[in-house]
Amino acid sequence: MERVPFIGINRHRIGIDGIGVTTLACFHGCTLRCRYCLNRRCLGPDEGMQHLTPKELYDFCSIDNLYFVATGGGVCFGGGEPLLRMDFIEEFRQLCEHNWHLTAETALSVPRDAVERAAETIDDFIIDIKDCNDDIYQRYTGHSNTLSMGNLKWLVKAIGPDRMTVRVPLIPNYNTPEDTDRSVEILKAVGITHFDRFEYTLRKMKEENSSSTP
Amino acid sequence: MKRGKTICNQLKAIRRSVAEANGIPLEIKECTHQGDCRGTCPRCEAEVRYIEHELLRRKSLGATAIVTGVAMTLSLSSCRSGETQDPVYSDDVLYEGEPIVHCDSNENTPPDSPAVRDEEPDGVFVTGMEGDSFDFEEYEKAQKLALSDTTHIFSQNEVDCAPQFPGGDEQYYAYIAQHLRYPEGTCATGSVYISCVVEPDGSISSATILRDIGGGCGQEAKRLIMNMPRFNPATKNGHHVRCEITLPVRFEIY
Repeated sequence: MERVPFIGINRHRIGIDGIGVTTLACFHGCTLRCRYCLNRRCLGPDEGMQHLTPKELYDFCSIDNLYFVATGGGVCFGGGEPLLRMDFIEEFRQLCEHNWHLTAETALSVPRDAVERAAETIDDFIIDIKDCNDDIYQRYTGHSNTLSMGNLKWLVKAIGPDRMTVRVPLIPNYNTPEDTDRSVEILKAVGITHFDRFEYTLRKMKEENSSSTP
Repeated sequence: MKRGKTICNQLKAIRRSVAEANGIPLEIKECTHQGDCRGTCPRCEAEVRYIEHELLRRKSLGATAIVTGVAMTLSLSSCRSGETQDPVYSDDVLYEGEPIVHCDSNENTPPDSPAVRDEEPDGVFVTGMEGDSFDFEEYEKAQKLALSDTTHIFSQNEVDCAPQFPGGDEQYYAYIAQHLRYPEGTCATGSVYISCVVEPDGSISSATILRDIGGGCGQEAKRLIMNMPRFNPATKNGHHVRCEITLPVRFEIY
């Protein structure tokens, strides 16, 4: 398999990206263009980034095998949009077998085929649904949420709600607490039971934006 | 408490749990490093290697290694605790604090590796234990001894530079594509994994099928690996050493 670009890899994340001790591996590339994108490097050119094969990432992560196995942890694929890299993840799964817990942080804004493959490969999903209101979603991401909501409904039916946590963020200037309440109600009706509600903090980004302004 | 220190303490507790569950003597002296850190350091990493080594040794003596889930309660996820939990995207991780480690393609060493650390927190080390004790200096000495032992086989984690197919992975896969003979009468597809040892001269030995998909694919993968051109051997402290690696061979029908 060809090497795939990563915007970053971070070891020893505990209680942030899933069960146990986790290594977060962030792929380059995303389908969305979120206004407050957390990892903007995933949208630009992949020059200067580390490119790895599944085996190379596996070898790198193996250094923490003891921690993974002892805590039920493993690797969390983030990004960018990790479900765009299902070939890579499937090969990685074959390498680590089921000794490591695999998690994906995804917006589910990908073709259904990728979600179906992920359902077979990934143990747990952290789904950033942003907001169920399509107008808000479009203003914030530049895309409709039809695809992601359709995929979410399919995924809940396919694997059940226990393997997923859905993020419903309060996004300054884009939605309100009432909007997030409405989103949670809609998601509950879909069958979601695990939510992660939080508010985006913009301080650092404001600094970055102001410093990048000519 | 600084984030690095919190991680350090949690990892330390995990190591302690694994050691205790397996009767491995391990006494950890508290780290006196005051500044920020990544939560691990060369001494912490050496302890992990020591525990792994001891587990393997016990396994070879017929004991069962108890690792799976022994420290589950020490690092339970906050993701499933409902609406009162801390955000998954915590501020210190992705907004205000240290962001994810950015990879630099110019560096061969993984970005979070202890090898690229500027400073090493002092004080995390194992002190005098009786009998089957572990001492960091002793550990290093043992590593040097292993270097002089030409029969010792290192794992990829232990070497400075892992063995590599000449020309890199792209050439490796090109070689497989060119020389793979799909076994007749089988429709098996998937990856076969072969464990083997790359000798100091780059030759391959001790090839073993780790994962087979049947239909003769395992034997074909083994034949392919054993007939490969010499690898660039592993290096450790400037020496070529024996190193065990696992190689994938993918069988696909187009």
